[in-house]
Formats: sequence, structure tokens, C-alpha cells
Amino acid sequence: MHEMAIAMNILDIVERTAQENRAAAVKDIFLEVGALAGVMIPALEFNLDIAKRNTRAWEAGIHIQQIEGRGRCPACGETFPMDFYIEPCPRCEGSFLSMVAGNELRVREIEVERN
Amino acid sequence: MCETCGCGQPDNQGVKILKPGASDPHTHDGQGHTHDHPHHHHDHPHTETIQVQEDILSANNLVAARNRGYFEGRGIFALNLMSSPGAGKTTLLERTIRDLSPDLPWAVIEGDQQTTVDADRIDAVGAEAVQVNTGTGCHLDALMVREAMAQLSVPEGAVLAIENVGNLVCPALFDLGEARRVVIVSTTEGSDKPLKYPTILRDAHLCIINKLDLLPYVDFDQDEFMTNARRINPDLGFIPLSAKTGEGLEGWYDWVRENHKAANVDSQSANDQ
Repeated sequence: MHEMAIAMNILDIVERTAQENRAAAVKDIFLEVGALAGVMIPALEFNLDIAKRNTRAWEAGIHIQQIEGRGRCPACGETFPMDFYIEPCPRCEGSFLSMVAGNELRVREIEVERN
Repeated sequence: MCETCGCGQPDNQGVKILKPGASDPHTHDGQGHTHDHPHHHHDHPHTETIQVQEDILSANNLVAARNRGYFEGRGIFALNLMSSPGAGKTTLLERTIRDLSPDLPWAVIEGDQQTTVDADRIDAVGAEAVQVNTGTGCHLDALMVREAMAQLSVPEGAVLAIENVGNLVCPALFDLGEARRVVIVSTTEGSDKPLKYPTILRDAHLCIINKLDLLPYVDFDQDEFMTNARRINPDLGFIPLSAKTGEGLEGWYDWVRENHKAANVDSQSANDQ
């Protein structure tokens, strides 16, 4: 359940950003989570609901964009969608692919309300 | 009837909420009765999008980078030991410390949800140890390591073993500032484990396969395990051993000595620059 720690980190970033921008309330939080980042999205949503209590994001809508995994084959240079670390390259069947997308864990933007 | 002043004019403004300093829009100019729509006079909240673009783990990564700089500056070789509960992390550490001390000074940070049992075991074999109880937490993070370091006096050039909370999932995401990541599995676990828990192996440097003495009694296929693990991390090294019988321990000790030396060389060259 490291999703709780992830949720707390998200709220820290959101609160700090809101404070720096003198925003009274955060209405929406937009996140990017890679499909291969090791974070379970329903668990993250559940924990965010708890973590946002007593913060200026208590009413905020949570919008999570899942970033599809993409691999690159070091042998032939092909890039392609990747659902798991160990799929062989669809072009040359090479293994040991490197991940070029899908590892993201990012707060993209927040929508705040000012008075 | 106007609900604002009872002047008989039809009005649908209803309840007004005024902020200090905002003028009451209900005006009686004497010439024709007008009620301005208050919307144009109010300071209504407006929404604004703020680009953040910040890595969710950035706070942890920042502290981890500070830890790493501290370790490098003092030639401390920091190891992050990760495994499922019961793979034999503490037993391996006890034996390693007994066999390699006093030539190599050791200090240990023990991570567990509860109790100081593991730190007591390390203390009993003569190494300095501090216990981090994470409560309900399932992993160590860089700040816990930093705070634990404040409780330890780790000599320069020591090996610092950070024994993570027994868990093959959560610790993978949290950089502690270590120089090397070591995953310990035991032969009582399945050969398919790398495929089930790939994240923890992805960034590991070494995989120790412990409890070789149990091989006759279990269905562990070592070759299949290593093939599966290499599919996730082709650079992963393997050392099969038994912390109980001592089989294979020399390979592990050589690995520690070599990597410890490399960490010291790195720190020397960093200090020279």
C-alpha cells in the first residue's frame, strides 16, 4: 500500500503549489501515472480521497491520465506499446527492451480558485 | 415585490452575499428604478490552471540525493536490502557481520513495522544498529534513513546495510540514497517470482538466492528463476548461497569487498576534484 505515501506526496505538491500561487481552493488535480510505474490507480484514488481531507484540495476532482507503456528495442531501434517489461520486440523478437514511457508519476497541473 | 427593499418592483435578485468593500448593487436613482445585476460588481472567484509538472516522488528523491552525497563524501558503502518477509535478510547480515568484522566496519538500519527484534540481533553480533519502525508503513523512505543516520555514528569507510521492510512491492519505488540495491529471494519462493514482482528487480544490482540448503526439499528451479529475472533486468548479478550452512558466502563477501572498494574509489575521486 505505498499508494498512501504516493497520495501524501501528491497533496504536499498540490498544497505547496496552491500556497505559492495564493490560491484559496484547489478545484481539480491532474495527474499522470505510467502503466508500468508500479502504482495501482484505484488504490491511489481511494487514498487521495483520504489524504485531501483538511487541505485546500478537499473538494478537488482527481483526474488521472494513464500513460501507456512504450518500449524500445536496443537491437533494431523499434519503439512500440509495451504492457509488461518482458515482451519481446514485435519486429525482431529481441529481448531486454528499454522502457521509454510508462514510468511516469507526475502532478501535471492543478486548477485553483482565487477570490 | 422586490425582496431587496420591498419597493414593489419585481426583482429576482434574492439573497445577496457581499464581500467587504463591494458596493450594494441595489440602487434607487429616483429616475426609473434600476436594479443592476450584481454579478458585474462582485469579486467572484475565478479559476485558473497552474502548470505543475512535478515528479510525485521528487521530495523523496531530493532527500535520497542528499543521503547519497553524504555517503559518498564519507566513503560509506550503502546497501539497500530488499526481500519478502522471511527470505533471510537478517540472518545473512548477522553472519556477514560476524565474518567480515573487524576488517570491515558495519552499521545497520533495520526497517520493520514493529519491534526492535532485528536491531537487537545485529547489536548482538557487534555492529551498530538502529531500528526504524514504520508503524503501518510498508517501506523505508529517504527521510527515515536520514533520521536514522542521525542516531548512528557510522565511521568513514564503513558498510551501511539498510534492511528494508520485508515486501517485494513497495520498497522498489523509494530511492534511499544507496549505492547498490540487493534483492534477496529464497529457494522456498517460486521460480516465477521475477515475473510476478518485476518492479523490484528492474533497478536491482544483485540478486541473492538464499537457502540453498533447502533445495532438496523444494521445487525451486534456479536456472528458470535466473532466466526470468534476466528478462526483466539483463544486468542483474546472482549469488546463490546458504546463510545457514555458509555455502556460497565467499562469493557474496567478494562482491561486498569489491563494491565497497569501488564506493571508496568513487568518493576519493569526488573529494579530489
